[in-house]
Amino acid sequence: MWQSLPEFGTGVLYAILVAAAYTFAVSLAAGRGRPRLLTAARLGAYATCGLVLFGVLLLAYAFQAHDFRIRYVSHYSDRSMSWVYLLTSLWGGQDGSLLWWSLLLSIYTAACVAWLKGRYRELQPFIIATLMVIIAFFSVLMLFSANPFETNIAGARPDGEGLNPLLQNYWMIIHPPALYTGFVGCSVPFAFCVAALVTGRLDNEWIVATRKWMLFGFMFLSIGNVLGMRWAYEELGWGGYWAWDPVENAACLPWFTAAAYVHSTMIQERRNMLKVWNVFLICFTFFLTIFGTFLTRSGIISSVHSFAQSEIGTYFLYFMGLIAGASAGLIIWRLPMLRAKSEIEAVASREAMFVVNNWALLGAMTFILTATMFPKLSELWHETVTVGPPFFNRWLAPIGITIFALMGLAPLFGWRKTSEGALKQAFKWPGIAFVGAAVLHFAVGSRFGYPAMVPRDPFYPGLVGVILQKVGSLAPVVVVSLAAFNVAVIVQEFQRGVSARRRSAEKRGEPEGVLGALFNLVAKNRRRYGGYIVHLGIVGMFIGFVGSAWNLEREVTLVPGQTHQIGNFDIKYLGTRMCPGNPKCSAEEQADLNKRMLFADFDVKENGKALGQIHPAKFFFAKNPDGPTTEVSLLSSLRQDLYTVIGMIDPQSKRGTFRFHVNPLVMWIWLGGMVLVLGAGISLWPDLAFGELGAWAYVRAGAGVAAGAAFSLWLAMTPSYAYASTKPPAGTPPAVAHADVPLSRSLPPLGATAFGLGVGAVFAARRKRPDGVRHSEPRV
Amino acid sequence: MVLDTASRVSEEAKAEALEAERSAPEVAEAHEPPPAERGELLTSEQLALLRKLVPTLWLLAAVVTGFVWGVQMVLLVLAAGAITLVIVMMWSSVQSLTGGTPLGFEEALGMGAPSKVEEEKRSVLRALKDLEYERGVGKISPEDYAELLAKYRAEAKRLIQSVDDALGPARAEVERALEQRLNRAGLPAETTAARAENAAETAVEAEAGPAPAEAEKPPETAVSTEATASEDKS
Repeated sequence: MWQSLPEFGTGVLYAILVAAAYTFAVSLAAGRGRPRLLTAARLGAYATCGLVLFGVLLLAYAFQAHDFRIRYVSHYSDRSMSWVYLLTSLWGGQDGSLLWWSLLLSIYTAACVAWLKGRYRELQPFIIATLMVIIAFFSVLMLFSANPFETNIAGARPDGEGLNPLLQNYWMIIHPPALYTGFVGCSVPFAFCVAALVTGRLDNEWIVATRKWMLFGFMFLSIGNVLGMRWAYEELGWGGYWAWDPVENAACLPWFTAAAYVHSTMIQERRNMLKVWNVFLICFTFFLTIFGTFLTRSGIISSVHSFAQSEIGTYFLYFMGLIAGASAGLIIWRLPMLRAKSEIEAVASREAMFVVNNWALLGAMTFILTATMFPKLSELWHETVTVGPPFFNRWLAPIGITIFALMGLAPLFGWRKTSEGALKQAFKWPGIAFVGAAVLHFAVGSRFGYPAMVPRDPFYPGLVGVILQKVGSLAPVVVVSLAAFNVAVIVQEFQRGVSARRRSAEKRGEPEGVLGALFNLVAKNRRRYGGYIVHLGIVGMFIGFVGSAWNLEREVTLVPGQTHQIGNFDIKYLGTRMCPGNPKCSAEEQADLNKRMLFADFDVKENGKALGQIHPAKFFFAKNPDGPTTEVSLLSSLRQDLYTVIGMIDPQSKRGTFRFHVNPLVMWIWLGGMVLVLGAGISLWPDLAFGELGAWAYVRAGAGVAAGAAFSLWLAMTPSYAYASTKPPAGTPPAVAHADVPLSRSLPPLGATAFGLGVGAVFAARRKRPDGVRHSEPRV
Repeated sequence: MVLDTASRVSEEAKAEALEAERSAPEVAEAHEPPPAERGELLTSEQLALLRKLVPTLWLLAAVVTGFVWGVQMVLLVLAAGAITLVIVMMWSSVQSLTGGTPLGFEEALGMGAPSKVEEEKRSVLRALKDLEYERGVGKISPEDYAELLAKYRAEAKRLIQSVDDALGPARAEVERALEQRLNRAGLPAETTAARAENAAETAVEAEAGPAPAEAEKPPETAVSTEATASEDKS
């Protein structure tokens, strides 16, 4: 059988299509008044998911067995690659990543079907049917346009071409799966939405379930985007983390609509309003995930991230048309049932703030979408217009500041209307924090190298240009003050909650301490306080973003022994070494036979105090000797990063051109990202804890493992893969021919991953309360 | 049209749930013939155990294979497991489609989808909980709180009454079916009058305070006892 693996694999793809079509038909029959068929549909869904898993395992086997008859395998792997990178090659190219996408969708589908057992009975058939349509679409795509099992026309090659060196990076192992998990996660809310629209069960209960799934997708979209930023920061070597590349933009678009939805859904639950808006947001978020995939894969735009140009764009266009047409048709059909039963009564209310927040998020998304597509759209009138990062940065500064301000304002308002007295009380301390931070920033910011205002050039002539220039200049102090305001709001919310809880406990005669009350408060209101922790993470990220206002960048030419000063760093160029071969190379570097590595060594002092060494490098891969990769070297701290890159080096004189960047506060972005994920996890927890349904336990375990793995990689890569160290390389142990990573370097990731797995397993196992009571109803 | 379909679905679901209940094994466990006599190979407990054991053994085999023969063989073992799962699932699906397998008890229970009114009730109860929180943290004025509280409580009462009214005929039908079933199984069927008497006694006990044995029960169980008692009283 294995002699015909490619044909067998293609057969499995056909089987997926047939199984999905069968399940779709049975689901529809179940939805049309034959509930008994639902069991058949559920089992069919599991079988379809199993087939997708089978297909992925076959392709993974083909990679490990170096089956170079398969075109995809020969394009994205070679015999020298380790088994880990052979596994990651699964999603390294277009065809395999579509199969990987299908697998993630299948996992979601299986989890959703298991979770649905016994609930949302009337919606179930249509949820399964919708998910099957999406799986069928991807199998059609693979079968007729991007078959990962397609053979080479000229037969098997002796060796493959190997994976793109840029993708042979720790972050690339986890960034695409995390981002795909976020993208694919938006399919389940869409399936719920279609089912609710078809059946007419448009009350508020389905939206509760949808929110959980959307929050899960939102969490992984956040993880995926932050990991992508980290990858770009370390691997692309241009000194920043977000270049407003079209594919980066496409990845963040659904994040905005998902964020808008998790806020607006609260209004529907609480006030029975915004039903049309919510179904629109769900459909649009799903549409954007497909649109993002279309942008990456159709080849209509050029990007460092995009796959090769192919004809699959046409399929995506049809599918997007189907999604847009079906969603619009269903919404229009159900408009009478979607009418709001109440309206916003006062501007000073939380729902009004949420609506403004929604519009700001949608505004940001629309701006990014339009600007991303503008170069392509401008071709319609035969004039290609380029939209670069400065355009995005200038325009998004005011939009981002508005969203940041609204994030702090909304929690201060109550539902329906807020009295003047309550508002005064709520604004008192956050207002003081805002003003205090602004005054402090103006007073001492410059002394620490972070002035409150930075000079900006006018971007446009006229009033708009002046306004944008002023906003850009003032952005640092405004963001820092709003960060203080937001933190004060969050602290105040926790403080008020703890006080209320303690008062209530006192009345009951069961007094609680501050920490106990805090724990119980979060435990009983995880959604609310998890949300505040997400806000705290976003504050951290905004602080990181505003750090770019104080960036320093220099390109200098040095000879060994020369020192260059940038910011408060003194950087002394020691010389170069080529590994393997140089006795100063570490054992790990000596053992790497896949590439030659040219390192430049520097001694770094900060304010005259020795800080350590940095070693930026150029890697020349054996498979790609003409395209060396640039390896960044970083020294990171909470205050700033020293970021170094090699431009070019004369091999004779060792005279080299280098770029040095001092990037303040970048670490806060990564820390903020982790806090955001933690908050999203806490928000998901109430629905997961005491899980009456096994599927959520597995999802929870998955989230635990993902968080553990992300954390482990964080530990493993800090200060970075970039060969920065606090010890000089001289005196490193003699070369040992050992290709494996030393155990000592593996321990942090292994430990943290084991921790994540353990936490996930513990909570996955907690399917029943100790008293044995299962909860299938929301606790009120 | 869809609403009509939904009501038809609901009717059929009820009928199937009742049918499943009539064939439910645990009611007359003592009189149940062994699986072999029913033409089945395994009991439901054995099947449940197998469902957990087989995937565990499969994964264990993959891990052992990985240590002995390497990654390639792990993938083959996992693939073999996956295709077995697919065959089992697809076979079961077709069996279920053609009516070859009986409807499971839990599955039949799951067919009783909550009505729109029940879902509205949950929504209003959640709103009441939020309202209490907002009062606790001082985000709502006492006047607004009182107004909203009255509104939500009235709504909750109305919805609970609607749910009770809607469930009345079904409850009577279930009680009748249960009595018949118990009679067929030769077990003493408690009459409605006796049950009402017992319920009243339970309610009185609940008001007077739990008995020593009951005091150790978790709160949810006590609440559900109370709720059952009050439902029976009504």
